[in-house]
Amino acid sequence: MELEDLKNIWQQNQKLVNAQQNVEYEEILAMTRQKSKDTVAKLKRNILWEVAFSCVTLLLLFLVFKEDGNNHLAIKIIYFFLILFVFFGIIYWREFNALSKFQLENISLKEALQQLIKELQHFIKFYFLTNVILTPICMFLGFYLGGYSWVNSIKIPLILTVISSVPVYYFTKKYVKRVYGNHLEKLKKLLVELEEQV
Amino acid sequence: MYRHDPDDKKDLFQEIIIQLWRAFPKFRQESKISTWIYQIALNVAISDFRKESRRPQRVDLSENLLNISDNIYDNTTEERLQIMHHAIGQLSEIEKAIIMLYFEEKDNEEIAEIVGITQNNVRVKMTRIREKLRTIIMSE
Repeated sequence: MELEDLKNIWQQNQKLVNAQQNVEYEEILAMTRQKSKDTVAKLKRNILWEVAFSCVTLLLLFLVFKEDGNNHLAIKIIYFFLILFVFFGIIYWREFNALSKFQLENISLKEALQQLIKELQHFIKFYFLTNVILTPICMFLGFYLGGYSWVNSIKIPLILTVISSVPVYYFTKKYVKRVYGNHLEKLKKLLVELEEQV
Repeated sequence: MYRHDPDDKKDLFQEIIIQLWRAFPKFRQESKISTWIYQIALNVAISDFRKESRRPQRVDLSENLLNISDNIYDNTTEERLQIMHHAIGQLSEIEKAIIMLYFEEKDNEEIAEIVGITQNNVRVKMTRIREKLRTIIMSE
């Protein structure tokens, strides 16, 4: 069977498929109103989830310490978290905006792959760094807060944070690779195949 | 060609429609509308980010033919289709894109524009694909 035979089979098959698949106008219209599930939309949703999680944590923290209004340490901690939230909120907002501007329209497959790889690499770096910075800070505060009544120095919470941060670092690395890294590798391989010199 | 599961196919179709709908206002008419549609469809199909299925990928002919009623194909046609789907299934994602565009009667110039490579590169890749398909079909 030659390529022309395959082409004929393909075209005959497509005619039958098209004849059988009669997609209604309303159905198409309904599809246009659905949320996108493409890579960028997923990254944006991921950012929104992180921000939502931070908001809930901050709210819970506020509710817990609200009762203890005279506790200066608790108030300081809440302010610290608030500053942290605003600072990282701005970073997340900038990243979200950058992703919103990203588009795969009017470009070839090769350009789309190049842009997507660049965007994904940037996002992985951003996601990894924010997590690696934020997690030890939150852990330290957690240990310090949890034990401040019986520990007067910051040495023990600091040591506990350092010890716990090591597995967190590796876990984050593995998690990022599993969620985004494999997809990035797939895109890179496709680009290499496209760029292959002949 | 890029999805085997009917739900995955439906999802992909929907995603392509969403992207076309969003991109249409920015369509600059510098290329043919068909080129633009294929560009977006291929960009979506190839760059799609989804969890890999844990199920082994089974190429089911009835699924591949979008559930066309049984009596449409005779045995010979069905057998030829089976061979074609199996052969195309062995190709890489990029090769699938190129061969699909070829089957859809696109010339080298349009394939080059959609994929983003030179026409010479398209020709070389087509020769390789032809050889690859021939080897696969011969070994059937």
